[in-house]
Amino acid sequence: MNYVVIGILAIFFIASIFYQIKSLQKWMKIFNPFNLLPNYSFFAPKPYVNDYRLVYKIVSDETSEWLEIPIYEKFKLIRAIWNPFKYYHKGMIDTTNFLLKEFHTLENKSFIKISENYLSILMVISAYLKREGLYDMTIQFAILSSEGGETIKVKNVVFASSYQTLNI
Amino acid sequence: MDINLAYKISINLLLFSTLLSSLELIRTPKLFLHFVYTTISKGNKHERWLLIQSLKVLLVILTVISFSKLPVSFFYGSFIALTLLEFYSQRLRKIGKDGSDQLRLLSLFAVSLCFFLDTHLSKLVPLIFIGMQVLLGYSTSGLVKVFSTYWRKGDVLSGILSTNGYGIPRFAITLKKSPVLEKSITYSAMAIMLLVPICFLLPYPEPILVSLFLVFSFHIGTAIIMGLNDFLFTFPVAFPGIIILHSMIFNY
Repeated sequence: MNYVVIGILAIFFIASIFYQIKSLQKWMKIFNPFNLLPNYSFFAPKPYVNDYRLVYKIVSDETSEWLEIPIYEKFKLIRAIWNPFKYYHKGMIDTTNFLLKEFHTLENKSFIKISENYLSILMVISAYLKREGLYDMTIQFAILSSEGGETIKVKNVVFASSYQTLNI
Repeated sequence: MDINLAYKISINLLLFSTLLSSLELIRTPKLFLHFVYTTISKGNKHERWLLIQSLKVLLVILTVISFSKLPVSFFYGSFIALTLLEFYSQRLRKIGKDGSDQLRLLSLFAVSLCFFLDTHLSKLVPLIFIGMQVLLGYSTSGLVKVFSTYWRKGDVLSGILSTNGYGIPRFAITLKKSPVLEKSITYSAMAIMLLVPICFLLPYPEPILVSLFLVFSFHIGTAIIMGLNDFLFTFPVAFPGIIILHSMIFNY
């Protein structure tokens, strides 16, 4: 048993070394069904220097403006030991990146509406509107990349949805 | 360093890191659950999510008690159950994961697997494995940054820290006004990470201890400034293993 366990860990360590090479990651993913192989590049080679912001507009209301779904909290020192926000900040980054990857891959762009990431964003907006007491409407949403925290500067519209009817 | 003490430190840190992460995931608001637990199911899965994370908290408490007070079979049982639940929880979380989530799962897996080894190896092997993983982690992270044109320019920090997600925008403005300060902090971060594997190759205990102290200080800094608090409690899980492995290689 000793040889089997040590053998598994040794093979796993060697695989971890190869997994750090970006060109091999895609190929090795089939051997990584449980996501155990780690990627240690952390904020490199290209770090995140923008926030993604989720905005929506109620199309059925002519007076409606683009409004933001508030995701970000202001800096507090407590986050050095307690920071649950980091999970959905990173989730927003991952969702946007996966969504953009899918969108660029699709030949027929309208199929993006059945993407899990698209639906995920739509469900966040839907839950937010429900919480605000707003039901049954047509909306459009967009994801913006922004920089700055005190004064926010919108850099790009990275994704814009088509009109979407919500029956909440 | 005594292997029993090293094992005790690593296991307790690993359990604390798992506890903290589970408690934080319990606090994920219903509204933003889809950014952590993506599902296209119409029914909200918040209750199920709370149940999974609460079970993890209970298992951590049970494992801590069994580790110090109960026969070893109880510790093995609760630890393996915790590892399986963490696997399940991370499988549900397709997005929003970071490096510390990966290392935590990997450490739980290695420790659980080593329960099947003979007693004299069941503590030493996981310590060495986790230690080697983190040495690989610091080497990769440092080298990728050194070879990155963005990082080499030395002005990347003000960009990262200007975000609401990973920074303090006010601090980023100060950094941007002082390029020398920004460059020195950027290069220090890269150097501290590379210092750990470099000092590991030196046959004296002092350099590796100093490099681990420096990298721990770096984790404190990133916890405060960038909010990466889980790195602060997960990466040190490997430090006792690194020290043990170093002392074994250089025979001191």
